[in-house]
Amino acid sequence: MKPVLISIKRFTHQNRHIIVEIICLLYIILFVYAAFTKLIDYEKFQIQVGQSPIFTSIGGLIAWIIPTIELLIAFMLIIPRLRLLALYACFSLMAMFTAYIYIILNFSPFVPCSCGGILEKMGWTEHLVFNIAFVFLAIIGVLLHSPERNEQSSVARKSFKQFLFNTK
Amino acid sequence: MGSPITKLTICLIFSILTVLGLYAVSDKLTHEHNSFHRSFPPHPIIRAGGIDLKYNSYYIAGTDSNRVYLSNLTAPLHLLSVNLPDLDTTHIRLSIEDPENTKFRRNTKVEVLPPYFYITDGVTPRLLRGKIGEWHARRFMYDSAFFSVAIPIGPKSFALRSTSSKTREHVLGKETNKSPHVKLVPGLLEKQVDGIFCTDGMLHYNRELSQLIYLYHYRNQYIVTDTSLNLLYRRNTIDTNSRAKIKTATITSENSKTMATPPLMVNKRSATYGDRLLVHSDLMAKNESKKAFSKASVIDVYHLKRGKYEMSFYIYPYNELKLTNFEITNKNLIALHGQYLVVYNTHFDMFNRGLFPGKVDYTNIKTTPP
Repeated sequence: MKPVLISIKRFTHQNRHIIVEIICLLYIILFVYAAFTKLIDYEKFQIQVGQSPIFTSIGGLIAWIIPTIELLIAFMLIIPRLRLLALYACFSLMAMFTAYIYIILNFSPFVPCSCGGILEKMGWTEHLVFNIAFVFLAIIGVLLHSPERNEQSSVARKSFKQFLFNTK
Repeated sequence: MGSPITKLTICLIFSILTVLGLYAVSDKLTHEHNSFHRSFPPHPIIRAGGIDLKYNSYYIAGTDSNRVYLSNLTAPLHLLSVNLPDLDTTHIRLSIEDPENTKFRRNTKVEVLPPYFYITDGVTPRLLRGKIGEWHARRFMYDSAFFSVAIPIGPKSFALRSTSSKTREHVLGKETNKSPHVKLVPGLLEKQVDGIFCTDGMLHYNRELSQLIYLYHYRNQYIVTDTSLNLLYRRNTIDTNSRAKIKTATITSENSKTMATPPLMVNKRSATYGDRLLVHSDLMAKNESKKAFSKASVIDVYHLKRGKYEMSFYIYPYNELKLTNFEITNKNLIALHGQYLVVYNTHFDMFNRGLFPGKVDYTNIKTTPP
């Protein structure tokens, strides 16, 4: 068991740049795809957001903000200097979507739908799992991409990384 | 502060708080505009018993003095008769004339109005009737009018809610076997937004008063007419929502019309018997606790002859299932909670008798079925 863990650790450390690239690529694909399916049928998306019990009063605004942020983050992921910031943004946005789904599933009087394209075919629970997976991708991305500033923080990070991979 | 984990935690907390904040704001906006009060006398209804129907697709097709008829949305030719107060069930198989050429749709409904039962379908359109006991339905009158709701009000007449061919809006009407067969009465339903969603509501026939009642879903009004659809009066329910809060939108890519925001539901369900109209309201009064309101279903009782609000009571979940539909008879309130049929004894008149209206004579109340 131990040699396997060590080899995983070494593998992730050696290939961290590639892993970060993959995670960024996945996020770019996800956000560009999601933003465009929303914008292509913007009229429908706007109505669906308005029907959501959480955004009834501010649906119009949200319908613009979400695809804009998604495209902005995708753009920031391309630029190396903004990548770390973008990964934090990915994490926050995905966490918001996840919290939203959690609230919808547990507290909302009815469950509306407002996802485009392939994502529309997913059930809410599958969506939750999908989102949580992306949240973890963002965490891994942030941890691997963060510059190592001093010994202490990198130790903490390593132990967290270890925890992360232990659970997998 | 500098470590990525701290930053991620801050991001996480910020994200969750943002979504919770939005939820709280919208929840406040939709629920806090009510400035009316309810009165809750002690025990106007007492549960007498309940049975498991095994399916949640039953709806109440009709009642007579000691029986409830339940029809099934997914099997229109299957009828369940439930005896009151013992709750013995009998399964009835309905048969129809010309079954090969009769299609059942989602809006095909079975209605029981003794001594007949009716099968109505507003899309074909088709009206069938049979005698209770014989359980064989056949066409029996003129039935060429399209409708979204049809309620039998006599052996050969129906109250209808239909769509006007001129305005494409909801209109109430009556269909009979005598020429000109269909009489539509525009003007009874008053357009506020689009004439379709904003006028949506529930149509009832009160057998004892021989009156028709139409209660809007999205505003605080009910309309009472005689059986020829002459307007008798319009009255308001206790809440203050006189305008339907509805926004509609058209999705061009799907060629459909839909609601742009969740509508503000005022009156969810209703039933009428004798002098009373019972309304399951979706709005919380000022003097209610949010906890009780969100857990139970609140029913407001209106006295039609006196024209006033009498009282309210809660129907609590049965086996954790909330009230889905209900009907009332002279002594009972019959409720569907998902797959369960629950019968309550009603004691509305107790609050109007004696020197102290509102005080209950507890000696007359039986808490268990006889």
